[in-house]
Amino acid sequence: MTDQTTDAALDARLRSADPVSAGSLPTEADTEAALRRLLASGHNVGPTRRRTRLGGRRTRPRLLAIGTAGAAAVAAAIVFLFGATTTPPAFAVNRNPDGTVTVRLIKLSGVGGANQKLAAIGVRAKIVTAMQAAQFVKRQQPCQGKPAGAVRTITFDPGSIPRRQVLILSTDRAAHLGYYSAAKVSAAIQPLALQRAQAFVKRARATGIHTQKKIVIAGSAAARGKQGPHTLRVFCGTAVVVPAGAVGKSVHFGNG
Amino acid sequence: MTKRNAAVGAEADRVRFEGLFRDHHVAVVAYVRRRAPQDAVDDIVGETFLVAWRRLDCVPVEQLPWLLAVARNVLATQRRGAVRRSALTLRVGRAAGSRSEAPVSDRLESDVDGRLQTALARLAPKDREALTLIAWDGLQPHEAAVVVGDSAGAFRVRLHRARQRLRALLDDRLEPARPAPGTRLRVEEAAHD
Repeated sequence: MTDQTTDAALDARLRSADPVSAGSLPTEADTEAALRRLLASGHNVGPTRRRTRLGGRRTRPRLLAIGTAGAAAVAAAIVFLFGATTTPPAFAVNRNPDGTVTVRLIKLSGVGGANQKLAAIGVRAKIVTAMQAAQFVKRQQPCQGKPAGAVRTITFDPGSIPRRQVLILSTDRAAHLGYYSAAKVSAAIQPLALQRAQAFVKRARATGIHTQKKIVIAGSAAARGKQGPHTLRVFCGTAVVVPAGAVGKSVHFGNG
Repeated sequence: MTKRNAAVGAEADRVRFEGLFRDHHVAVVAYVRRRAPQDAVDDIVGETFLVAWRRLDCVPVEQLPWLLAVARNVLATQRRGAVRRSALTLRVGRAAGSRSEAPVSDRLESDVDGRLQTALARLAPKDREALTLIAWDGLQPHEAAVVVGDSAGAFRVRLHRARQRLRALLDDRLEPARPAPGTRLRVEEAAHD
């Protein structure tokens, strides 16, 4: 048919205007490299199968990360400090009769097991290692401060974790991380934090993605969206809201 | 689910995801490069595959159209952000005749079919999208329909009309249905939702 012929001719002419030429596309090696990068950056990411049970993709948790200094100020915050690590097993996670959960981390190697156990008993809490936590705070201005102390056991009430958030318990070897004044950081970047928090909430909603690379939230920020207020609280060094899936990834943090 | 089952499941997911990535990475990169500024391509492709990973269970048998639909959404989101951030810059840039948000073309100036470029630019974004999904991304109409969220029938109609309009513009038979770009800020060709 004439129409089909001219359609084909038109398509051919269009193809000649394709801004991308085959030669400039990724090679097999490029693809492999990109895949490795993605896997390496997101090894904590995976299919979120329990989403429906948790109430749909729009209610997926944001992470509330609880870091180091000033942890006592936040009821659910904790610092794990590792000193002698000899006694097996590496961790213990128990649900107490009053509904609270006690996490005891004995060895750093117990992080994975403890996280699995927490997930298994349906508690929205996650332990991240000091190095992962360091990414949340490394770009902030250090301040003078002392570690909150050697705490290896924490008891918290899972019911106190805000909806759509995940409590992040950070392990900490303390010395090399540095500590950060919540007040100082907050004062410096709060206006920025608010903007970015709002942008993050929007983007996360629009795309269903919780792995933004450049989300910066420090100080305390409240972002209001169509579905009600989302309060993102960050006390640098104590609590950080990061997108789910960003744990263990390179999270750019700070003013930049 | 037992720990062992979970581990086996996670491994199976990873293998499946790797397959998906290897099969479609190039196509997704090409799709995004055609529509996004160069410096945003990596981010958009990465986000697209992260969505796929996270929602591996939702990926249908026909993977590529689904992936491109995700990429399209990511792209639209990125554009909305970019528009907000740089509306003024863009306006100034546009006035000076440049387009800072435009994708970078591999083509040399001499290769460019100027008449076709002009005609494409004068098409409505939806028409342009229909044509390019078929011609550039090599999709079948029913696949392209998935990308844009149309029914297959509706997309065929859209495509047919887009071809008619393009031909008309190439032949200078018709004034464009919409004002030519430049009179208004228009970079949201896919951001209609």
